[in-house]
Formats: sequence, structure tokens, C-alpha cells
Amino acid sequence: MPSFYTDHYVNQTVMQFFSKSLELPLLNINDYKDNDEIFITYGILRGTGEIIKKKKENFIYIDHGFYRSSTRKFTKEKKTILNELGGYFRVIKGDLYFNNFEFELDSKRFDELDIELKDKRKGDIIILSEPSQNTLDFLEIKNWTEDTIDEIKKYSDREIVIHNKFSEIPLKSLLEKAFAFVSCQSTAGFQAITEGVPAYFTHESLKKFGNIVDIEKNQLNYDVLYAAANSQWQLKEFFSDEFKLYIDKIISK
Amino acid sequence: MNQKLYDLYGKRFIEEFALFADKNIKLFVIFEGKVPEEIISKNHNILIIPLLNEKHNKFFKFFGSLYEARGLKVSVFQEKGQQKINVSSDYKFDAIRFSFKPFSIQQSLDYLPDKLDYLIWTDADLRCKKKFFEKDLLNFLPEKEQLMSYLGRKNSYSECGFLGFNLRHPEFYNFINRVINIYITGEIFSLKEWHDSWIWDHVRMEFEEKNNLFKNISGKGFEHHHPFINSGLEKFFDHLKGPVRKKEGQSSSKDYIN
Repeated sequence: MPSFYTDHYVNQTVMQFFSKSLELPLLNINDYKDNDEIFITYGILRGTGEIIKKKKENFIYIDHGFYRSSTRKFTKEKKTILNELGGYFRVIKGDLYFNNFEFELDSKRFDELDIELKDKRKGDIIILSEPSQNTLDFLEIKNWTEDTIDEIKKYSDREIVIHNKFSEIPLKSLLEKAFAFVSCQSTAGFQAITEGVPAYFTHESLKKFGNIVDIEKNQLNYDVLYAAANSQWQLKEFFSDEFKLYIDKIISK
Repeated sequence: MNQKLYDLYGKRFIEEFALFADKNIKLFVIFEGKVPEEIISKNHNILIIPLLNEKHNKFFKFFGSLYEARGLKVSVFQEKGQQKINVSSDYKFDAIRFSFKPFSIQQSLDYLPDKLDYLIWTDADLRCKKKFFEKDLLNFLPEKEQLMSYLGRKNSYSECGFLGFNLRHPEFYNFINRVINIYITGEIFSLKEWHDSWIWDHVRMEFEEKNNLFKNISGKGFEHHHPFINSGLEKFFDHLKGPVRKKEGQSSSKDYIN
């Protein structure tokens, strides 16, 4: 069961930690040959996305985690600058965003993050968080914003405010006035929940934790936070027995 | 390590480490710039990590453009009634060049598994001579109550090509943070010398004054300018200290105390 790296330094670092902690072969993506084995890699660029699409659910995908991920800056020129790699990384089977099977909802790993859970806010607006261009392209949902606005309007007539990672107004400011947060699969949805704003998702793997049809019920669901915490790991944890057990578990699903 | 140093001696070091180090000893290489393809999928106990350090970037941003911080000294003098300028270079004041080690150590802490007991810093101009295991290195590491082991020298600052850290010592993180703060606050420029060996000694002595214990592993090498290969470490390693030894690929027989 080899894992694959590209020519990007983040991918190379993460995949080294993954493969070497588990003593798996590590190969260049250019050496990939179609087969029935699980495909393991980080990120969707530089050839990995195309292979993932062909594998259906037979892959393990690694990317930045849901909370306390490695700190990054997003510039006006639409570049991402990484400050460090000590943060959490999500490690997911068969999906880019969330494990799409019954998952561990024990709160221990979430509690260890010491993230404050604020009381539910009494806001009015619905924040619509747009996916990145890479996500729109990869999931082939170029009309996501318009389609989701139409969907929301079936269930709510509240004001919808569009936000994305290049918006000048910080998300935290908007959350103070928010009734609900809607995204495709954004980790900002988890931040919203911790800030007391119910979050809803359109991606299949996350809908079960918050579906737009229930938007006016205005309920905070912490299960998604616990499941997320149990699906993310720091690079240093890759060497732990706990991580090995986690990998065995998700491979068997 | 960067590409230039990799080409000079880093590649050989990694290959010899891969050949001789027991698999339970992990090597983290903090690499500046594009990582050579050939080492990415090297042994399972060798991980190449990009130099990605916000605090080091800050240090560079604040002080990197200062010639003085790179060891250049400018002095003005009078000669035959004319004012003249003398520019000289002194490695002891090259804070920038010798900043990579402390910040690399600090960055590596993000990647260390929680259950680890020891962290060793080694310069990359190291040669591995024969198979070595964890038990072979224990003598050169701090005891349970000691914070760090180092190669002290009687008549000079310590040789810092080998530093052994006790990750379980209660003051370990304070020690590293103090070293880093000396850089990022600019306090380094108030010290007598600005290279990292001076800083390691300076902070060690501060912590010794607060009753923290350290281990000098120089042994009979204490009175020698090249203690590394006279400390017992020479059984497994050679340290190519300075340009001549690097060019030769080994220490000279004159470097060893009989």
C-alpha cells in the first residue's frame, strides 16, 4: 500500500510523515500506475486530484485539519503562505472532507483542544461561505453560490451575506450577527459552531450534521466537532499507536 | 541544510546515517529550499522537513539587512591626515549565518512525538563510521536531572556540533525559548559575541546560576580545540570541523589525543 508525493513541499513533508511512520513505501506521483490498491496522498493539485476522482472511495486523503491547522495567510493575489506545519491535518477515507461512515463521537480529542463553546447567538443573517476555486473546480459545482442561495430561500427569508477567504470583513465579525452559517464543506463551519452559530453543509459527507432543510430550527450540533477532532492529527502524532489504530479503522471501512 | 551544503557534505551524511543508524533513531533534516528528490523517500527513520519558521523569518526581517549582523565591521581611522574606512569580517559576529541551528532546533520541536526522551542536534558535517544504536549514545546524553549535554572547551566557547537535550527536563522548553528570545528581541547584539555557540554557553550559564544541571561530555577533549573526536563520540563519528577537514573528508590524525 504505497503513498504518493508530488513536487510541493507541504505534500512532500506530510507524505513523508505518513508513509515513514507507518513504514509504507513512498513513491513519486509520476510513478503511479492504476491498480486496485488504496491511493494515499495529500492535496488535490499536481496530479493527485485526477487519480482521486478515478478511485471512487478507495483512497485516503490528507489535508489541513478542521481546527488548529497550520497557520496560513491568504493574500490579495490569491496565494497561500504557510507559516509552519505544526498544526493538525485531517486524514479521511473515501472523501476529501469528512469520513462518510459512522464515526467515533467521543469528545476527548476535542476537549483536549480547549476550544471554548459559546452559547447560541441571536443573530439574523445567514452567512454563505463560498468554496475556494480549487474546490469549485474539483467538485464541479461552479454554480454552487447561486444554487445554494436558491436552496436556502426555500426554507428561510433571512438576509444572506456572502463570504470567502479573501473577504475583507473577517468571518469572526460576521459571526457576531449570524443566525446560521452555510458552506459546502468548509472548516469555517466548525468555527461557526464554536462561536454559537449553527452550521449547515451541502456536501454529502457533512449533510447529516446540518442540512439546509433544518436551517430555521436553529440547532447547534456538536457531534460534527467531535467527529472532526477524531479525524485530525498533528504530524508528530503520526508516530503514535493511536494514529496507527485510526488508520487501521478507516482502511477497514 | 541547503542545496549547497547538501552537495558539499550533507548528502554523504544522510547516506551514512541511513547505512549505520539503527532504525529506532530518527533523523530530522531541516532543509532550506527545494529538497533533492533522492532523499524524500529515503529510509523510514529519515525525514526531510522544510525550513519554515515564523520566528526565524521575524529575526531575518528585523536584522537581516544589517551588515553588522552578518559579521561585517566598519571602522573609521585617520591616515596621513585623511579619514579612511576599514571593513573587516569576523565570524564571531555573524549572527545571521549562525542563527539557523537554534531556530532549526526550535522548529523541530513541533514534530517530535510526545513520548520521546532525548533530542540530539548534530551538525551536518558529520561522518558516521559504524553501526550505532540508542544505547551507544546514552553516555553522551544528559542524565535524568540534567537539561543538556555539550562539548565544553577549557579556553574557548563550547563546540556545539553536538548538543544533547533532555526533553523530560522541566526547564527544557524555557531554555530553548530563552535562546530564541535572545535572537528575536535583538538582545544578541548586546552580547560579547554573536554566534550561536556563544549564545548556547550564555544561556547555559544563566540556567546554571538557577541551579539547573548540564553535562560536559568532552572528557579528555576538554583542553583540545576539537573535543568532538576526543570525547568518545569518535568511536562512531567524525566531525569535519572547518574547511580543511571538510575538504579532506576526515579529521587529521593530529586532531586525536593519544
